[in-house]
Amino acid sequence: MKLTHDDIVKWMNGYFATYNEYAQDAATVHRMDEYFAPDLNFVPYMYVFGGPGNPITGREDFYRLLTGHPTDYERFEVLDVFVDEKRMVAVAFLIATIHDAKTDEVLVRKHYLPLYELFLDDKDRLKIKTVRFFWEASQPEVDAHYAIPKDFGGTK
Amino acid sequence: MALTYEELARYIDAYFAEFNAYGQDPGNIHRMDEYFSKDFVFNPYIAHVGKVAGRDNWYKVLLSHPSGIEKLTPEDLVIDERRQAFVAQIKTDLIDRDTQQVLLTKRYLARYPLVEEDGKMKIQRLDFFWEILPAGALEIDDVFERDWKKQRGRP
Repeated sequence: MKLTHDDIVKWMNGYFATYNEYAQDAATVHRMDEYFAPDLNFVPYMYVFGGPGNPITGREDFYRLLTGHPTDYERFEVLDVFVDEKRMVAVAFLIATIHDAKTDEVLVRKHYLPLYELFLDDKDRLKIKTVRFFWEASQPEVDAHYAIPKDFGGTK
Repeated sequence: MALTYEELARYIDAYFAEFNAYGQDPGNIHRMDEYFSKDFVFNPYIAHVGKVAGRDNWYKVLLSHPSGIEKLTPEDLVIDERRQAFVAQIKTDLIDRDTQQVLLTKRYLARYPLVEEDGKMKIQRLDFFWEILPAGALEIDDVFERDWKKQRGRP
């Protein structure tokens, strides 16, 4: 099956809508199985997440990260999606807004530029194999607040 | 005059090669006119680093740190033929000009929308993200600051 530029943009938009709805709730995070390969790699290019030398490997560990910050949640607004359909790679330009989970107060807004390596699985379903994650470099004290725990490779 | 995927790939390879050869050399910087549009904008998503509007202002930035030279190695290219744009993950080695020592290495992820100018495709904007190193690590601005201090007349 050969996917077109339009197919991949549509799929990516579906991914972000599903992420916003289900990815940060332990009860629903497995809805993301539709998008993430079981052997997903998440490679962060920021030291508070451990840097690129400490990727998260495996979808289940990634889900632990996504659902491991119940006091806040992030919502993505997709500004743009670039697609290389020959290589099956997409890059999204996003604004992420992080809210306090109790009050919905906006805690921080920043831009993200994640790169997604995609593939078709053995049932011809598009999946994310690798996420290479860059985010806007805020002031260090802001980024430090969103550090991930040391057992994920982070600095908290 | 949209470029094909293969033409874009050749254009990008040539751009990085020319940038490394001429992009920080005051005698040859205008060779980069082939790649940067007149209204080029450098758009960094980095706290305390400002936007730069206009190719000539961008050249001033590129030439403002002669003792520390960036060598760019594209490690991954995402070519969006329909949008006439590309995204590059880049390894940068920041090299001391006098000793040729690599002072630091880090990764960038940058997107480059193109625009037609004088019958050629040129880079309209550089939306720029970089790897965030641990607090206290030697940073690119620490190296560039050596020259900026001199230009401000301070030791």
